[in-house]
Amino acid sequence: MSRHKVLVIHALRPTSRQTTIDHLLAFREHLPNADVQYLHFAQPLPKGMLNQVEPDLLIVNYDYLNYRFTPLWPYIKNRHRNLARQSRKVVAIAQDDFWAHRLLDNWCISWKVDRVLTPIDNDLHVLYPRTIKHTDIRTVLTGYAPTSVEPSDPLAARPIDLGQRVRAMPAHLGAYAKAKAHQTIEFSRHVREAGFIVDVSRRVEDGIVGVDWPKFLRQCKFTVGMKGGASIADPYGLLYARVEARRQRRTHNHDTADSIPFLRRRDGKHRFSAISPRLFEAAAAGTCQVLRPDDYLGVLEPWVHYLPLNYDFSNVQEVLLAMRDLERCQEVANSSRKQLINSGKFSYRRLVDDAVNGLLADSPSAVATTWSELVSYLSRADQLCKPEMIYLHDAAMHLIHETLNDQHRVSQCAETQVSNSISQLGLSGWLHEQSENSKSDSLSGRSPWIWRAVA
Amino acid sequence: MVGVIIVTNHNVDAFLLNVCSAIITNNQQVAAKLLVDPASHSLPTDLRGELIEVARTHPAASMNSVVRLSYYLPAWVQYIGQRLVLLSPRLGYWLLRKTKLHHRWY
Repeated sequence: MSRHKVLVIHALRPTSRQTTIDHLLAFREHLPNADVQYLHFAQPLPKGMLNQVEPDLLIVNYDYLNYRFTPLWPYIKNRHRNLARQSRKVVAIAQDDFWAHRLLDNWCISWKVDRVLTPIDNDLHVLYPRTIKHTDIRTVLTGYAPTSVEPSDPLAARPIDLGQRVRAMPAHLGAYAKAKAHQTIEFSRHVREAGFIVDVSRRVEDGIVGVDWPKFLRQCKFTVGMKGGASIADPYGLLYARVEARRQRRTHNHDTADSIPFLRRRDGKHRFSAISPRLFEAAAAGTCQVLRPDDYLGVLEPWVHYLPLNYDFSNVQEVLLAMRDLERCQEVANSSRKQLINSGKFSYRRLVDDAVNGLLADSPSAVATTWSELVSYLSRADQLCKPEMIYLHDAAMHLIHETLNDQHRVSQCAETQVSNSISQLGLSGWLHEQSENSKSDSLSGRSPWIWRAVA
Repeated sequence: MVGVIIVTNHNVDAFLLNVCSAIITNNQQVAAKLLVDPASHSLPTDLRGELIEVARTHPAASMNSVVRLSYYLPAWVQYIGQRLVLLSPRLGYWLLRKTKLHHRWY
C-alpha cells in the first residue's frame, strides 16, 4: 500500500535549538502512515531531481523562512519553487513574522501556500495583507511539550537559584521586544541582592544550545520569563538596516525604540506576542517559573502554576519572599508540569494535526521513481550523520567544497589537517559528488553549501 | 555561531579537527571555548598560536571601509546594494573574506 509522501524543508544548523529539532522530528513521529523525508535547503541534489519530485505535502519550516532576513533570500526561495508547484499542498510554519513580513507575505503568494501556521494571533491582516485573502492561517505554538521528560531533582537539591539566558533584542522590534531581557536582568539583580545564587546572562557567548539547555534548567530552582514578540512591524527589514547603520555610526550603542525618532513614531501601534517555548521547557524540567501576569494558553493561574512578577516590579519583595518557601514553590512547579506536560494537551501531535489535517488527500499519489531516488539519495547522505560515523563540522565541508572547486588554492596548515582527516574517513568521494551536484546551482555558487541532516 | 559537533570513533583526532575548523572559519566564540579545554595545551605550537589569534581578534563588518561607508547611505540603498553584490558570487566571497566575516555563513 502506498503511503503519503511528505517532504519537510528545513535549515538546521549546529547551533539550532533543541525545540527546532523536536519541531522537525515531530512530523516523522506523528505521521506513521506517511513517508516523511527531510531536506536541508542547501543540500545539493542531482540535476533535475528537484524538478521531478511530486510530494503530496510540502512543509516549510520556520528556520528556512528566517533566511528571508538575508540578502540570499531571492536565490533561496527560487531554488525550491518548482518543487512547491509540483506539490499537491504546501504548508508554511512561520515565526518572527513581524520581521520582514512583506517578504514572507510575497513568498506565500509566489509558492501558492495552502496553509500558514503562525504563533501570532492578532493583527494578521497587517502581517499577511495578501495571503490572508486566499490562505488558511492558523495559530500554533512556538514550542510544545517534549515527548520524553527526564526525571529531575526536587527544587531543594538544585545548585542554582535563578537561571536564564536572554538575548538583547534589537531596538527596531520596539519596546515590547526589549522588555523580556530588561525584566530578566532587572529581576536577577534583585534576586542577587537578596542573597540567592544567580546564573543569568544575555551575552551571546554564554548561550546554551541543544540538549545542554534542558540539563541547565534541571539545575535551576527558578527561571524568569514572559511572552516574546514585538511592538513594531518591519515590513522589509529596512528598519533593522537603519538601526544597525545608526549604531555603527555612533560610538554608543544603547539605542532603544524610544530614543530613535523613526522608531518612536511606529512603536506600540501593534503588539505581536507569542508564548515562548521556554514555558514548556521549564515545566518539563520541573523548574518553578516567575512570569509576567498574562494569558498563558488559558490554563496557567498566578500563584498556582507560576509566581507572578508585575511589569513595574511593584511586587518583587512578595515574589522574593515566596521564593524562600521552597515547599510551596515545589507545588507550583509540580502543578505547572501537570498542566503543561502531563496533561498531554500540548504535545507535538497538536502541531502535526494543525499542519496536515484536511490537506492530505484520502488516496496518496502513486510512488514515482524520482521520489524513491530522492529517498535513497537522502538516506545515503543520512548514513554520514549516524552517531558511529561523524558529525561533520560545516567548515570542513565548506573547505573541501572550495578546495575541489579551486585546484590552485594554497592550503594552510589547518586546512591540510582537515583535508587529511576527511580523506582518512573515506568521505572524499561523497564530498566530491556533493560539490559536483552544486556546481550549476545559483544558490550554492553564492553561499557555501552547508548541510545538516535531521539525525 | 558554530556549535561544533564532532562525534567519531575513527582514528581522527576530533579535537584537532575542531581547532582547525575554528581557525578556518575565524570563529572567535568557538576558539575561545577550545582554548579553555586542557587538550589545547597539547596542540602543535603553530596551530595553538593561530587559535589564540582567532580568539583574540573580533572581526566586525565595520572594520572594512566599504562596509563602513555604506552606513551613511539610506537603508534601501544598502538593501539593494547587498543584493547587487550577490549577482557576482566572486565579489561576495571577496568581501566576506576581506571583512573576515565568512564565519557568519555557518
